[in-house]
Amino acid sequence: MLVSLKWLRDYVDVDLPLEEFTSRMIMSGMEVEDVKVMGEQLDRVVVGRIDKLSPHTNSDHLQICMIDVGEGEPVQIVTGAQNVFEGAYVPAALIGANLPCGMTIKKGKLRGEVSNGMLCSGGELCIDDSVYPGASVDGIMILREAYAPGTPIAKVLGMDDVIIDFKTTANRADCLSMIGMAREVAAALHTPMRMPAVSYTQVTDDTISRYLSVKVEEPSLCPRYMNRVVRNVKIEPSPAWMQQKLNAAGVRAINNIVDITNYVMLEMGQPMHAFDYREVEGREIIVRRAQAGEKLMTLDGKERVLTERMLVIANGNGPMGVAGVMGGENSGIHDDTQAVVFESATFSPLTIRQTSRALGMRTESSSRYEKGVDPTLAQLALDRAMGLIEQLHAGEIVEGAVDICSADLTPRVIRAKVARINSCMGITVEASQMKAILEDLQVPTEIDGDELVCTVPAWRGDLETYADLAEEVLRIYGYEHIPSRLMEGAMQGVRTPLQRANNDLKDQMVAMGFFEAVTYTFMSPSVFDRMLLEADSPLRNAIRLLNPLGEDYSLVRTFLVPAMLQSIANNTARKAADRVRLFEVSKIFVPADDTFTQQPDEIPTLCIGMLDDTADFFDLKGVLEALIRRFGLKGVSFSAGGPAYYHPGRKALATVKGKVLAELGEIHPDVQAAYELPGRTLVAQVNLRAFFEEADPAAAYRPLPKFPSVKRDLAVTVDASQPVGPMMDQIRQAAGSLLESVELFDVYQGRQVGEGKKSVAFSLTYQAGDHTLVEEEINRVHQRILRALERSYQAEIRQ
Amino acid sequence: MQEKIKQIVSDIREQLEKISDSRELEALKVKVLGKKGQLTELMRGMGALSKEERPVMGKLVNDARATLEEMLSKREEALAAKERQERLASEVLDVTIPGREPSLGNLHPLTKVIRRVEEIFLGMGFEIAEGPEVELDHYNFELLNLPKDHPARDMQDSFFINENLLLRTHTSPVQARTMTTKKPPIRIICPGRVYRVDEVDATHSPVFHQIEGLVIDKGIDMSHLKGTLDVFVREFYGQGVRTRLRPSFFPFTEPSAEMDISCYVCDGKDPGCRVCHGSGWIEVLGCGVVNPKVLTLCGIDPQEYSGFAFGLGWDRITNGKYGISDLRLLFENDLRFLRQF
Repeated sequence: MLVSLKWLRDYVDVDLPLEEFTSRMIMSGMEVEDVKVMGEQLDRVVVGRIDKLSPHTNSDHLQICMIDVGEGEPVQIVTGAQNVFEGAYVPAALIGANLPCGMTIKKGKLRGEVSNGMLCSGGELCIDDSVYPGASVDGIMILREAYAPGTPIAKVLGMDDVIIDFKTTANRADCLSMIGMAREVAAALHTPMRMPAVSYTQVTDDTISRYLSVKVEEPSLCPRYMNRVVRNVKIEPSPAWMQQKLNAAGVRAINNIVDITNYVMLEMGQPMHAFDYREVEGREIIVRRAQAGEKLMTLDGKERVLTERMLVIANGNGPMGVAGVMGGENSGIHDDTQAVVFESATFSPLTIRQTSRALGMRTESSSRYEKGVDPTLAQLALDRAMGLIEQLHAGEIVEGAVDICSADLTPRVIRAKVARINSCMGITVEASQMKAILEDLQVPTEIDGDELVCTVPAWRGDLETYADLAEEVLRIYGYEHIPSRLMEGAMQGVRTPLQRANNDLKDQMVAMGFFEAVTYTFMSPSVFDRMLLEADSPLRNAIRLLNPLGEDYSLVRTFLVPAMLQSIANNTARKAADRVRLFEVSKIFVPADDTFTQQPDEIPTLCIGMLDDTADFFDLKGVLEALIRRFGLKGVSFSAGGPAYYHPGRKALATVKGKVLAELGEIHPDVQAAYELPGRTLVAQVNLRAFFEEADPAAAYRPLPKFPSVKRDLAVTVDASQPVGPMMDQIRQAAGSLLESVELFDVYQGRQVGEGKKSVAFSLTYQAGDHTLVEEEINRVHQRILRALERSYQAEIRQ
Repeated sequence: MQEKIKQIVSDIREQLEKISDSRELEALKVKVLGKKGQLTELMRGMGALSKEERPVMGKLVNDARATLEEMLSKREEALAAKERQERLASEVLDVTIPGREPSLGNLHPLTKVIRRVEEIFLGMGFEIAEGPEVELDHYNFELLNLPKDHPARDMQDSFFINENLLLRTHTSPVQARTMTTKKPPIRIICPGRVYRVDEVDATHSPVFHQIEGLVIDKGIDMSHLKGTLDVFVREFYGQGVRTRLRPSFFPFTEPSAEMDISCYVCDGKDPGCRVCHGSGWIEVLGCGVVNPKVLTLCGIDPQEYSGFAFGLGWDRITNGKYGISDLRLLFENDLRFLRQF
């Protein structure tokens, strides 16, 4: 809400320095977005009267002016303009002026003649006809009235003002008006406010019923509809004072009638509309729903296609305006308009919001209706408009008004215990002081025993309960008086085991050299094909947003891998790093069977990505194994397989108790190419719900061995296609309790082991908890292992 | 014989002087004391001596052996010391050559910030509550005093999935879920990811993060809100940072407030400050006493209980803390960025 300080002073005195004033308003709840001091750069530009004009002896186009600038002695200024004349009043920039156009005025000589300033054009003051009629002429701007020489030009131009942009909160529709703001100012500064006096006379020979019959078909969407008719209208520009105020509020002046409707809206907050009576065909106005497909050319020159959800103001023939949003071009005010129908109405906020959204039109009118306009205002505003018609001699007011009102105009009464109001504030305010504050806010208040009885004014629809009264009292009393206290009573503040595990997991990833990534939850449908997903892949079943920011952001993701690949690709494309190791912990969203009422399953997921020419599949697998060991998961097994976006021969699934815990692998070369990844890329995705379910974080101490361990190597030859994993399981199983650990240390294929064979070498560590192992014991176990390997895998011992 | 012994000792003494490394020393040792060494030879020759001479000569030889051994070992030590000295001298490093850093990873700045924030609130007895990101309209709006036609719904343009479901626009539904399932006293903070229809630019993101807090107990008022948040601000921003509350509006709190903190960069002294723009204050969070309507909607009796709630922009305080000027950086995962924290 743009508030002209000059205009505001019509209703309330503001004597404080600007900064103190804005700070008082901020602290009472009116946030200040911006403060613009108008005419700041018009300092040292004053009204000058040209008393004497003489040609320059050394130039055929320069003239020497002797100018009265209110300083006693006339000032000599040389000008090149030809439109000046003796007796003209002009803007004179004196030495030291810094003009809005960027010029600085210094004392100078023009072809030998001293010039102590400059006469200004409108352009040099950065203004045009809309600010001051005649400002756009080629040459010096000639003032239209005889102002006293020396008057600051800012004052003449109405620019001796400060425009404050207040950010009003969503509950305070009443503050979208000068009077609403004045009420706030009056309360914040504890100073009285003045309402504009309204009076007018109506013609006695004519009555509104001769002009109009009005029907409101949708009273729930239009709780109040009022009209007045003005005849013998004289369309002309509105006076400068009105234009300047409209300008200050950011509204363009049009003509006296339209300007009055806008002025009243800005002053009182009631949107208004004026129809040319000639266009009210059939002399009737109907407030009805639009018919589907009905068309209307609005005042902005665009054709609008309407729907049944929209409310229109129609005549017998068709719509004249979209209710509360914008009038139609056909019924607007023209230079030859003779009679005008004024409309002052209340519409339901919801219907206006929906209409304005659907049409993509947000107007000064719709933005007020959306927040709610109090129905008592319709009458006050209409009267104010008639008062201005009379003041501006703009026409004759026909006797009588149309008023179709289904709104309940009885004021709401709130009864609230003083103690209850105090209970939420953290300070104690006396009942009498509460009453004084509320009355400053124009809320009539009585004290009835231990209760306040407040009659809520119509414009304060936001006041409903004791809590609302508490806020009103507190914000005027001053939030700065709220003391700072700690809560009483100890409570247990701890992370849940799962929250701790989640933090530990991230710490482990960091310890392994990974950087944490954060990516958007959205996913583009184009990733499915790019990721080589089969047509029936469950990953394609993603939730779709109704109103996405674009196709690329239209789905809620079902896997983290695409975003991971993108993050890695961003790094390599920007040459941010040669080796990228990232991880992300986020959610994936699996739609429920009934996607309409049921929320999706949100599965916490870890994604790991590596692009590193020194790392291969087993480095990635090692990271997972480290996590598995660190979090104490038991019985995890890895087997070949996984989604299509991995290399078919280099992907695996980790399972535990039949549940898939993780997928991992090298990214398929086609996917790698699609993401423009410069090298083999390794990715794993872990279902953290399953992972933490299987985790056993309680690490128990095992005594350190007291007796020495014995290391034995074991090398066997098996079929080249034989996986090593099951062999190691077999070794553990066959060995029993004496085997402390088994490690793979070599896999070799080549001529020495023969075609179709490979040599696999293990290092075994034996250990007993209660004695030193003797050779025979170890041999026995070692032999058992060998026989098991021979039996299961036709392994031959390599010597 | 006696002469011979003397001769050997003086020969050796002479030769020892010339020896420059431990290998030569070893050779000399063998030459004189070894199995075939000079002194051993001499001992062997003692058989030819008379009975009386033998012990005398024996003692002479043994004395000579002791003398030689001592000389040799002294020389050995000196040589070893010299050689160690030489080795150390030859092993001097240029310590100004950069070290080889282990490749550490790092947590995202958002995680670093939330851990700090959580710690502060855990210390005041708050628990950490979480909830779904795809939320029911009921929890995201209805229970929070935002019925279908409420104008305040305009303040948060939402991503809808259908009439019932949407991407949560704030973490407040976690508060609503907690209030409907838990009996007071309640002290929670709800950090999480939220969504609003905003085009991506330096200060807007359709995906961002919030930290909200909720306290419900008997006798809670604005002063407890201020006390709790004052602790948070001092711990998070520094002991010297001041706070102020000013009136505001949120549908789920009444009275509502914004909390500003004194500028931690310039403390209001720099009119051109890029953080507070010369006002000396930075807006950090919205808060208020829980609207009694919300309590009733969530099944808590407002006659018995009251509470306060607050919400702050997790991304915003992260950017503020580290001086990050562009929100997009948080989601790009550029390693040159991630390494800095």
